[in-house]
This record gives sequence, C-alpha cells and structure tokens, in this order.
Amino acid sequence: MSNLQVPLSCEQFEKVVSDYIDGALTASDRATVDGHAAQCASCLALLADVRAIVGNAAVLPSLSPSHDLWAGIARRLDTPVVSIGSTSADSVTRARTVSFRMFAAAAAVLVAVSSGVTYIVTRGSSASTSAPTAVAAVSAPTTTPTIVAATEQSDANPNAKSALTQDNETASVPTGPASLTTGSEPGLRSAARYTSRVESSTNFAYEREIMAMRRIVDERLSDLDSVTVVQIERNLRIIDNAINDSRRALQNDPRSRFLSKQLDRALESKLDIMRRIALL
Amino acid sequence: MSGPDFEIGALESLDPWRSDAMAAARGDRTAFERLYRAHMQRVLSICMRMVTDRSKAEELTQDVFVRVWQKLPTFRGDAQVSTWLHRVTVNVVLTNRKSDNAGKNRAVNDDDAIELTPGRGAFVGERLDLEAAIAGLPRGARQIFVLHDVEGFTHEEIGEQLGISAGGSKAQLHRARMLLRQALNR
Repeated sequence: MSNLQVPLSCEQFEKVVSDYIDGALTASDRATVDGHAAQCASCLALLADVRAIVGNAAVLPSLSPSHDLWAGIARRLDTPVVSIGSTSADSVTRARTVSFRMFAAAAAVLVAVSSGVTYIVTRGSSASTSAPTAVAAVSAPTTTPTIVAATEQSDANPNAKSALTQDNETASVPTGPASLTTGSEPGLRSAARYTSRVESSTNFAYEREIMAMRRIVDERLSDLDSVTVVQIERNLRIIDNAINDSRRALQNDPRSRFLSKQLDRALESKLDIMRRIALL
Repeated sequence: MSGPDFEIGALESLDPWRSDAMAAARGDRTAFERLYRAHMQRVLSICMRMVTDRSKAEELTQDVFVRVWQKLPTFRGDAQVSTWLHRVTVNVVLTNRKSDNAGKNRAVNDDDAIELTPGRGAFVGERLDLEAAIAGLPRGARQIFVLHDVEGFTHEEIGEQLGISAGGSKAQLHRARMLLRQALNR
C-alpha cells in the first residue's frame, strides 16, 4: 500500500531517500520515487550522492594503528590475577566475577581485626616495655648469625620476612655468657636497622605493585558507572586507613611480628581488590 | 568420538576463529594474539571512526582486547567470533562515551561538529573526504552512520546497543547522510 503522496514533492523526496536506498519502501512507493527522480535533476543528483556515500562507506578500508598495540595489551594481561585452579570456563567465570558486597565485608573484617590486634599488641607492649627491651638488648649479639641466615632465606623465599621476625623473637632468650653483656646497644641498633630495611624493602615492593595497579585501576574506573566507582573508592579508603593504622602502630613497636603481619595482610588485601577491579 | 569431532570441525569451517577463541578462553596467549592480529585493524577502525581521536581510539582498542580476554570464557559460540568481538568493541566505545559524559569535558559540541569538516569541494567519491566528513558529524549521527553504513549493523541492533528505538536510529542515519552530502558538496 502506498504511503507517499503523488505527485511527490522534492521535500518529500529528500525525506524518503534513505528508506529508498535501504529498500524500506513498498513497491508502489519505490515507483513513486523513481518517477519523481526521472523528472527532477536535483533530486536525481541527491539520490546519486547518497548512494555514493552509502556505497563508499561500506568499502572504507581498515585503519592501522600508529604502533603495535599488542605489547600494551599483553602487559595488561600479565596483571596478576586471582589464581585460576581449574581451566573450565565456569570456574574461570566465577573467579573473574567480583562482588562489591564481598569487598565491603572484607574491608570491614580487615579493619576490625587490624584494630583489635593493634590494640592488644600496643597495650601489651606498653605494659611491659622495659623487660623485652632489656632482654633484646642483652641478647642482641646472638641474633647476628640468625639474621644472616634469614637474609639468605629471604632471597629465595618471599615469606622470609616473617621468618626473620620470628627468629628475632626466639633469639631474645638468653643463650650463653655473651648474652650477659650489657654493652649491646650497637647490636640492637643493627638488628633494628636490618628489620627496618627488610620492612621497607617489602613495603617498597608492595608500593611499587600498588602504583602499577593503580594506573590500571584508574583506567578501569573510568569505564565503570559512578555508583560502582564510589563504592570501590570507599572500600579502598577503608583499607588505606587500616594500612595507615598498622604503619603507625609499627612505628611505636617496630619489632612486632603481629603488627608486621597485620600490615602485610592489609597491603595484600588492597592489592587483591585492585587486581579484581582490573578484571571488571 | 567421531560425533563431537565432526561437530567441532563443522563449526570451525563456519567460523575459522572459533578454535583460537576456545583456546584463548583456556588461557592460551598465543591463540589470543592470533585473534588480536586478525581483528585488530577492524576493531581500531570502529573505534577510530566512532571517537575520531587516534590516540583515544588506540587506547580503546587495547581496552577492547583486554575486555575480550576477560570475557572469552563466557563466549558460548552462539555468534561468529568476529561478530561477537565487534559487539564488544561497540560496547567498550559506548561505555567510554558514557563515562566521558559523566565526568569529562566534551571537546566537540554536537551541534557545531559538522563545521569542523574541511570544505574540499564537491567530490563525493573521495574516500579521504568521506573519512573527514564522517569525523565532522555530530557524535550521535556519526556513531549510527558508522555502525549502520560502515559496519553493517541493523537498526534493531543499533537501537539495542545505544538504548534507542530502531526508528530513532533510522532518523539519525538519514540526518547523518544528509549532513555528509552537505559537507562533501561544500
């Protein structure tokens, strides 16, 4: 059934020229358009131009990048991700699916545990400050060999830092005549310096990883909707607060194994969340 | 086991990229790189013509392949790999558009974008002119023109992806064609 008015005006012709080219008109309407084009040079030119545009658009050549983009893509694929135990599609999908409620719950648990442990440790250490200091001072010379062993271990084992702190605490038990020496302050400083150096190198590794992930996360956040971004940023802030709390507590008690582990756990949690965001 | 083998063989003959897609879904980086090499130019072309900025288009192309890598395990093979990949591309570009709208300045105003088109005289058949004229279209009209006339999506598919009606897509396409003609004949 014809919808077009006959005779067709040039204005109407222009309105239906796209439908004509796309084959969206009925046979009788096509005949009406053909009839008008046969008598109107300007509408015939319009039809020819639009046909040429559509025809040329369909065969536009593919474009090439200014440089090989694969390296940048491969780097992003290399981003450490949650481990995928099984190669089945279902398990991979599950591993790559992220729940923001889970983020919130993880952050809340982290803060609660962090605050609790920090409170217990700092209260315990302030109540018995003098005794452990004295024992550590007396035993410092004997800790040196232990530290060397831990250094070797730390090269091969990323978990060596906690082994080192544990060794230091074990070494605080007096073990022989040398432990009775009172002039052991240099040894203590050396042990503290070493602990601090290991601590800062571990922190540096975490910071470097977090900085690298931050760039990827920022890119991903720009693709997400604003509600999700707000929630992610809030969870990251909660974890940042936990990290800062742990760092402050460690400044007061740098040799605390609990606080050190606490800081590691908070940093690891932050990295884990960032890795998940990178996969969104 | 001849049944499944035959079926897989038949599917592969229909879609030459299916086996690489399946391998990449299992983590095969080499198979994924082959997919990238085969489809990169088309993906870049879609991005480039939809956003008109080369560095942004290259950035989006990388985003597309990272997204494809993440989503491959969910690819069930209902469509051809290339079709699916182009849909992912359009989604990435459109998602980027939404985030641009949410927080960034828009470099080109929809109403005056066509004014950026260089006037080179009337020569409709010139491809370079057509590329430049497409780049000068208002964004909405440009995206629909690229999706329909360059990439071959239907109005229904475009409507679904852009969240508009098929009729709205048709109207924008017509507007785009008229603007292009005007720009190319100046």
